[in-house]
Amino acid sequence: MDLKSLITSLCGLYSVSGAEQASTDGVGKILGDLFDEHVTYGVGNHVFIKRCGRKNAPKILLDAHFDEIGMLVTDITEEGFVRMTNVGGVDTRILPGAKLVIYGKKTVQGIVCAMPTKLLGGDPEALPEIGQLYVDTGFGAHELKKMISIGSPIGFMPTYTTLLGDRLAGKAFDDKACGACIAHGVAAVKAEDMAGDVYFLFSAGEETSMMGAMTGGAAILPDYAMVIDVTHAATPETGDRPLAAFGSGAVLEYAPVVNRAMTNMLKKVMEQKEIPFTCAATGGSTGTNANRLWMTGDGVPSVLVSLPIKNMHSSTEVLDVRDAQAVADVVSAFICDEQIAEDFAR
Amino acid sequence: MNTMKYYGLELIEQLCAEFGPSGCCDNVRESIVTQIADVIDAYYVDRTGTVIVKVCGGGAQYNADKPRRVLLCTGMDEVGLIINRVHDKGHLNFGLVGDVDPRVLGGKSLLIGDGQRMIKGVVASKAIHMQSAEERRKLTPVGKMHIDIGAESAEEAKKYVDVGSMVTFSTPFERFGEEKAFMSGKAIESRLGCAALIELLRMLKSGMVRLPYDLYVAFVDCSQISFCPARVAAAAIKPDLAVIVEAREALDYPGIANSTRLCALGEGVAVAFADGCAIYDKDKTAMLRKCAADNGIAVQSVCGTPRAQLGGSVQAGARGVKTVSIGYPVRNLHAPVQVAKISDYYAVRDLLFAYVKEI
Repeated sequence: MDLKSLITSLCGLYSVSGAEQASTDGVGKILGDLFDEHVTYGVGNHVFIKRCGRKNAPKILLDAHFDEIGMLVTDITEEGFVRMTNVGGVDTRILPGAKLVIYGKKTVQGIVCAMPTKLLGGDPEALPEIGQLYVDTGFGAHELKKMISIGSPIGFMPTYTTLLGDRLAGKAFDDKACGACIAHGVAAVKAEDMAGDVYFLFSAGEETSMMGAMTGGAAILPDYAMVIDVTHAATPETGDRPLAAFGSGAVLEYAPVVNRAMTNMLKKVMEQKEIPFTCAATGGSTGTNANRLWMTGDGVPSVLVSLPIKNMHSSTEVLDVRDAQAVADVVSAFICDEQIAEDFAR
Repeated sequence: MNTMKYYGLELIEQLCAEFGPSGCCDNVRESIVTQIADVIDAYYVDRTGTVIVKVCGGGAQYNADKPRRVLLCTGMDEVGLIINRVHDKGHLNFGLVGDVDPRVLGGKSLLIGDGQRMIKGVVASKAIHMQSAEERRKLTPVGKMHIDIGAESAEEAKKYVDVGSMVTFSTPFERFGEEKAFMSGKAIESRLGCAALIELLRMLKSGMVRLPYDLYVAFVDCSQISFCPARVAAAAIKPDLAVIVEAREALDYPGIANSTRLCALGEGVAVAFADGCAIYDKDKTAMLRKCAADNGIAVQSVCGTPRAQLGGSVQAGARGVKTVSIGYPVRNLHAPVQVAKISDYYAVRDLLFAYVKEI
């Protein structure tokens, strides 16, 4: 599968935080052939392992989170409409007039009502809160309650649009697109060329608790790790914030929680291999699983690489497939690098 | 050109898919004419873009020297956006075309072009992480929103779009809900009326119905921004009776009182007594309701005064002609996903067929 198809098929899976296991078969079907083993853990982690074939080889962990932001059903009205709350930082501004999927015993399509201002308090500039919105399902309450219930997760409709160039718009590039980059980067190298056994932790719950990275890291106890998540690309609204230009390749992140020596080594490797990238720096929390992974077990030296996207946490996030290819190339380089393995293996 | 004939829901789907924001309706016009060419006596496109169709009357009651004229009128254009600036970095600014609530725009997928050369885009939404508390609560002014088509420069963008390019939502037509009894998508608000009138014309032809008057059907462009083209059409035809076929806003959301919901999906043809610019003829409306009752077709009264639509302009254009309104209830009017119930559509179509025979 080419990288673009891998991205749309993985991101199209349903994996609202807390419901990551609902797509166990789906993710297994897409990635199973690219790895030797697929293990699923209690919190919803999916771990895909590719072995290098040598005994006592270092364990290299690659983390991307499998969960996505979404919503939960909080109420089913007499008329068969659904009310909802958010799971993670949903951009509620994009909800009115959006198409959703409610995942119950059966999946039910929903349309967020675009109610006129006069029914929403009258202020034409005020945005509705998520609790004010109704989802139209076209079912009566009686039938609806046979299929979904309070607590059923809700996701955005998985439709993907190709824009000019190799740019894609759609839901949940955060962060399954990075999972696609990992799978693509791992599949691109021969097992015997890898510097160790590769554990791809497609982790649960990043958008809510980062529990997946914490528990997955503790279960695997890797020698060293690479965390890959999305980052904000510069857009017309972001002014002069120091953000990566869209289409400029992978982003190599400096932050207190990442291992500076390993980051510097990776930077040299990327330069040598002519992988397009820019560097970014964060003073405190990175907002990614790197915050958790470095302190699991007896500590995990980690690097953090990002994929720049636009409109994060919306139903139309936008990525550039060339950036994703750069991230996949970083993955390939990282897992094959003997020097990093030598310096960071226990 | 696609010359296939479509029927029923496939006809609606086909019409909704056509790109036709106000003033850019060539595709819709072409599609309508293709569907009806073999069931009408004549048609022309007037200077405001309205397709005016004529079906000649006949039979014993028909006065060939001085035939009566009946006008059926509906809008064919959809709401949208218009590009008003192409930025150096390839993103596009836009203005609204028609009564679009800007709060529905964020994150939506779009079609951009002129109907011939089309590309896709999305309305960008600044990531929630970077919004201030105030930005999260307050609408971004339309002038500060932008469309992302994937272009990196004005030069790249201008290969496909320019100032003046038009935009519609791209939401496909879909059936959903219990027994798939509902339909959703863009442009339902105008294309349901077009479909009902196309099917009416076919039913008249296949039933070999000879009406005792000349029937005119006007498919009006620019109905989302102005009712004037309808006035122009009415003035040209000078009908003795006008029937407006149009969407009625259904506010039947949970918690909305019956007195303010205007009309509701699933309750049949929405018959209005008045709206923001017209008072419909009492006797003709009573006759319409009786006709529905006689034929077992569900009708509902529109409660409250809905926004002005085509009726007033038709009345004004045709020197105060008696006018009735046949409405189909639509939720999320002017939004990217409008919702209507299939049974209401058939009620409108069937009532039209019964009514034109009785006029």
